[in-house]
Amino acid sequence: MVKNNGKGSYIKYITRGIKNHIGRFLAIIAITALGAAFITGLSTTAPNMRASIDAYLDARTAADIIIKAPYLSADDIAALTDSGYADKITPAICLDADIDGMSARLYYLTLGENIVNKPVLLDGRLPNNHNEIVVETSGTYIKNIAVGTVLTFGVANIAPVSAEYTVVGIVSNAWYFSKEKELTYIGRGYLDTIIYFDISYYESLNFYTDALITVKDNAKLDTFSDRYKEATDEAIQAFEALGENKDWYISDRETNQSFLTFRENANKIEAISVVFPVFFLLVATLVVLTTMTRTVNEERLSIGTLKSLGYSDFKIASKYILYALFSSLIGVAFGVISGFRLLPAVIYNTFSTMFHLPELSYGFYFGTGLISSGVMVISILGATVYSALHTLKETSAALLRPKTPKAGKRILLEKIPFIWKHLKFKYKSTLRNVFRYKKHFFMTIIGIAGCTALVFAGLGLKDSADSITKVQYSEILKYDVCLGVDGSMPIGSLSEYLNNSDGYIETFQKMGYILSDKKDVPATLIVVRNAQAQNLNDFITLRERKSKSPIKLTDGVIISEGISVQLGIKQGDTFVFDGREYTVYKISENYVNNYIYMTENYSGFAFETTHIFVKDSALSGNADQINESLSALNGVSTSELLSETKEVFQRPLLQINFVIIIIIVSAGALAVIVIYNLTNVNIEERKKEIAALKVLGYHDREVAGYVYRETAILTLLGSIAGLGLGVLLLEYVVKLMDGINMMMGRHITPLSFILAFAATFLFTSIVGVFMYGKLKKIDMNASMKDME
Amino acid sequence: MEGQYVVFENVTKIYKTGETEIRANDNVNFHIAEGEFCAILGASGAGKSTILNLLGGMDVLSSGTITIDGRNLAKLNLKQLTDYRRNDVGFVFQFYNIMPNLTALENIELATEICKDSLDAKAILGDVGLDDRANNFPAQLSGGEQQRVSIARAIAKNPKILLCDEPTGALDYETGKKILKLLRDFSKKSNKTVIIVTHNQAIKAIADRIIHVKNGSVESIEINENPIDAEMLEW
Ligand SMILES: Nc1ncnc2c1ncn2[C@@H]1O[C@H](COP(=O)(O)OP(=O)(O)OP(=O)(O)O)[C@@H](O)[C@H]1O
Ligand SMILES: [Mg+2]
Repeated sequence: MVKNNGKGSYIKYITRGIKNHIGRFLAIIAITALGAAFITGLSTTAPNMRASIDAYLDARTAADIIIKAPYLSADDIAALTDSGYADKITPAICLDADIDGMSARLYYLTLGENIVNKPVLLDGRLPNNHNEIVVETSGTYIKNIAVGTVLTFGVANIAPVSAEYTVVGIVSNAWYFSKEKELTYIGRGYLDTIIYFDISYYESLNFYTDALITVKDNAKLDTFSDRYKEATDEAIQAFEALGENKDWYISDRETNQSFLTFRENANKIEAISVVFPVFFLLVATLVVLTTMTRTVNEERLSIGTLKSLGYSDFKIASKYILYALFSSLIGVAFGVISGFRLLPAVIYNTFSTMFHLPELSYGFYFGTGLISSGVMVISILGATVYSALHTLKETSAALLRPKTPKAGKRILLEKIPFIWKHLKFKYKSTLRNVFRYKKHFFMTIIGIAGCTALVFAGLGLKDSADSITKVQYSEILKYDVCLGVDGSMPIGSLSEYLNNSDGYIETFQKMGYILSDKKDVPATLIVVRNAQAQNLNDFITLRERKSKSPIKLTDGVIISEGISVQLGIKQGDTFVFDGREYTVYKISENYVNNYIYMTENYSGFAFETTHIFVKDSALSGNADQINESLSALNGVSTSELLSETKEVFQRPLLQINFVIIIIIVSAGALAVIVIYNLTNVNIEERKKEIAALKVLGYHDREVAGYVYRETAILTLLGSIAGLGLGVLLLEYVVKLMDGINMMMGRHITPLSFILAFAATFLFTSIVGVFMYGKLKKIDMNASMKDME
Repeated sequence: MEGQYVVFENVTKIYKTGETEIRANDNVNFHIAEGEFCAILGASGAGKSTILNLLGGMDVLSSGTITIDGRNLAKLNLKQLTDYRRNDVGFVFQFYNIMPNLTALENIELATEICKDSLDAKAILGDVGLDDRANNFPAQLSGGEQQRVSIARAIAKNPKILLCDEPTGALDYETGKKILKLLRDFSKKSNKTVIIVTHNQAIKAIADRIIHVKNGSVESIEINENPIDAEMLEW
């Protein structure tokens, strides 16, 4: 309280206000910092990731468009150049072949600085003659081939006579910046290596198969933007006109697997990075705002005194405004600065297991972070000004009288004397306190509920990410290997491997798109012979997700759930695939890729065997071991091991899981601070009552009980509400994260409910133990002396 | 020993705030007999509340001994002091200190629930004249009524001593008088030792013993042979 007049004492009054409520002050800083860091960090992650990759692709002159054709002549290349759309064109021969026991992609092009999809030397040197090669740097699937290694092979149509080639350098091509599987139609279905030859040493080669093209001015555009897509599409149209009747296949970055997986991951991160931080920030703002309101109310007496001394309303209010301003600005500054650097870097780093990544560049993507932090600060200040002015409206005489609860306020439970009568006074007191101030009650519950909801949604998100691969690769897909076979191949040549006719099933498969006005969804059509309709279930479980009830293939066309989610089509609706119209009979549980299942008679296609699902039970030895021999069989074009596919899909989930863990940890931290803050404010508001109890001879434990029972009830109600809120939040986020080829799991384990609930209680208990010392220290004498 | 129910011997209480030491009580000596209605008078800052707080086990003394009913408070640890407050002391403050969220009756139960030989809360409420306000919340009671609740709460504990720190300080003349009468009646009826701190010299007339405090020490002790009834008090 102000003892003497003058400026000095007023400033002291403010700084002492902060000192007296230092716990509260720090809590506000921590909460606003956490909120600001979280939203700034997460909201800048995806844009920074994209910008870094965009810059990287530009720096490496990665192709915007690739034209593939059986034969591209020098005239064709000249025509492309003359079209005016291309900035650079690098012609190349590109083919996939089995060499030296590896599935390899071979590039014959003019190696040098100025080419599209420039292989950049990491080690060694570029080839100096036609027996020297450079190879792509190793990834998860691309093998590590050291400089100096000699490979012996021949290449059909180009250099058919087997010869020795020495690896003289290791390069990195931005087109292949993913470390994941690069698919091919040969061997096991993915590349083991990429080899670059300098075409200038192969004078006899006078044709090309590929034109690697960068579109004029595209480098200036963000490759993830619509404008980039428009510019590219325009160029594609021009090239299509040139390539008419020439069997050209023109593709853009949309078919680049590295690009696609990266974009999908960035999008997923972005999906979580909006809803969560906004929700997070809402909770943070709400808690801080209540804290300030309560601080003002708690100091009615001081306010009354200052008022009676003749201090202006502005001067009195400015204490609280400055308090709120300082704490929230310090918090936001901390948060924005640390969040801006830390989170994107940490998240980006986890992607290095999947991608060859350039350095992360930090662009100025503060927009979301700054605006939302600003909104937070303004709301906090607004609430403070409002409650200060509201309090100042009262006369100083009224302020000097302690604020008493509204007369005759009884809670609902008291109307049930049967229960109320039997309650000990301490429970009565607790219950009345809990329900006494509706505003405090709701604010506290919402604050706690928000934290529980965040923790729960984080855990639930982890469940749904986990269940994708868990369910998909152990419950839904049950075959061990899928063999792609030439339509002409008689099953006979496989027979030495397939010794149990129940252990494999022949299918006809076709990839294509289900077209709709909204979007085109890629899907694989899987057809089985009419007689084998029942057998497919041994290889792929067809069941409804919620009820788990099996679906019979005999009765109609089944689509996987992702298609239904993406296109919004339901049972009984029709869709078009490959020019044919089908009616959806049932929707089956599925998380990765999209499938349409039907029997031959529903399909309208003439059945021919393209793929065979095989289980270990049909093989002499398990698929992982004999896969090499299977893929080497004549007539077997690809063989896809389910165990490997599972790995491929698990890896991107690791990054998502990491972000989820960040969310869970941050939510936990928020919960701890929020609960600390609420308990602290609660204790400080109750100082007088606590002192009175101490005077009456209540032991410290009993006093703690008085305060903590209340916290426990609020925590209980808050966390139950939080679980409800969390389910809604989770449902919303999960839908945002569904990709066109991957549907998030919808299964939440009971453990997540229990954990979120238990965590909230654990945090409350920890805070309780921590605050026990503070309770013990409350001085009876001091509190008895005045009315405040 | 007769007349030695409460004994202060060389009691000193020093408050340290940073560099400075304040001797709130400086070598205080007095004794009070069981069942006495005793007043402590003195100027503001003289050390009256300090005496009461030490006696009530709300604070620990720096040196000396305080004996109550043969028990030395200086020897008690914090937990024992709490138990002492719980079972042996009733406290009444200037600002009532009753729980705003409990009814009058519940406020009394708040005290009786935890102590050993407590009296019937309802009956005590009747004794202080608040029969019909048992289910009212503090906000629905006047200041005097709230102070009665506070007194009832202290009495209901059936304590050995009742300590009152300016119990009438926030009340008007008539109300204050009623409160003093209530306290005195309680003392006389149940033979309880009641000690009242007040600024008001007029209480001298109804007190059995008056202890004058000055600058932290006892200045003088008066014995009032013929205390008058509180209703006849004028000030
Ligand atoms: N907790 C404390 N810390 C420091 N000094 C204190 C403390 N409590 C009391 N004092 C000092 O001890 C002295 C005696 O205080 P005390 O409260 O006993 O006075 P009092 O006689 O009750 O006065 P009043 O009639 O104004 O209530 C005063 O000078 C006071 O400033
Ligand atoms: Mg005093």
